[in-house]
Amino acid sequence: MSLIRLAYLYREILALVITTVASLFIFFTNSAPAVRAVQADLAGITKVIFAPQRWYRNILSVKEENRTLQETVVQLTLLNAKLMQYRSENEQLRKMLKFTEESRLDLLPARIINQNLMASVHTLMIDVGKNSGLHADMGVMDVHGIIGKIISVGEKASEVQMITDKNYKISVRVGDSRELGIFSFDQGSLGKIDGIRKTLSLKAGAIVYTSGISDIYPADIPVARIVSTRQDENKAFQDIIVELLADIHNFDFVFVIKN
Amino acid sequence: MVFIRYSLAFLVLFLIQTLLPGFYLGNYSYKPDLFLVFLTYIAIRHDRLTGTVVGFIIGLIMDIATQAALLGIYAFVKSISGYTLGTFHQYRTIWTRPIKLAFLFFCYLLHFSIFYYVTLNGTNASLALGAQLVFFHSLITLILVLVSDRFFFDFYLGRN
Repeated sequence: MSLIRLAYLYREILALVITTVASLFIFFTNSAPAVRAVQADLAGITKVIFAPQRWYRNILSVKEENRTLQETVVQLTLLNAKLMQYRSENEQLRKMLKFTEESRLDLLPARIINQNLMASVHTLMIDVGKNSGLHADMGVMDVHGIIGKIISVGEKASEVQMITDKNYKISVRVGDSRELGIFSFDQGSLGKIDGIRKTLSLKAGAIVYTSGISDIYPADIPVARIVSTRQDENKAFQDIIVELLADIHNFDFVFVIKN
Repeated sequence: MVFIRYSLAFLVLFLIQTLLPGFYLGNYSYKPDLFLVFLTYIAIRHDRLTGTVVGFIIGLIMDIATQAALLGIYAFVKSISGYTLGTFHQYRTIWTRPIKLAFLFFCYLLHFSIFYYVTLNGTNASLALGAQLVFFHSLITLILVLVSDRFFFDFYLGRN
């Protein structure tokens, strides 16, 4: 059916539409208060008519907004975690910087790049090596105490045997008389001191220091804190349980003792 | 020929409408809308298309001649009225006289409702006043149509 035929068929409706549109066009070009009032009324009616459409659009936009917000929440959570990590790292570095400035030792800071506690030898890898002047048998510590010693050195990385390794022993001094003993790791963060005579009076909480006898560690670096002592009549030496001062479970940076 | 006759009739009506004084009912002035009677006659005798177009033209002339603030309002209401009154033409041989009169009254109510809704909008006029104006103007127009049908022109209203 052609357009002209269709227009002819519905000529009455068409005439009504054309005249209505034309008259309304003329009417709404006026700026009289009555016209504005009619416009306001029509706006109100239109608002009611299109309320379901607006509601539906709002639902859609809310869904879209919700999706975007969820993505943002995930991104912000990740960012927050990263910032928390930076904060922790920053605090740790500040502490290390302060420690380096206050320490009488020549310390080289290093970052832990790998840690292997499952192998037969407890080791960790640090990101400094020969290029920083390192060699085997240099002591490694954190801000609290001894961590271990370097056992092998690469160009840009070194392997550190940790104090928690079963085969690791350190010569230490305990008590006011600075009696010599041997520290060895036991479990958790606990270790023991051997070779201290029973007559030596020790207090819980006293700090155990490196002896300075070996070439690896300078003297008087904190190693552990005495937890308890026990004298057994059948033994020549007393049993001393100590707790490691170094934070062996949660650390990212260490110092290599260069002198 | 019909066009000329209607044009002349319109001119005469225009003159009468201009000179015709309004009359007071209560505090408000009422003036018969002779053009609406004329439009009724044309729409009934012809069809909706003619009613719509003639209504639009009459309304536009009234807009230009009588007021400027609400230009287009007469064209709008007369177009609508021309269309609705044109429906009468299709059923003039079917409907009974009461239905025809009721339909005409309904058309006038629609016409004046739209007109007074627009003109009274934004004023302090109450709904009761609007209803009163709409009702009495519709009634006056219907009476004029009845008088015209009785004494001057045939509006196909029948006598039964």
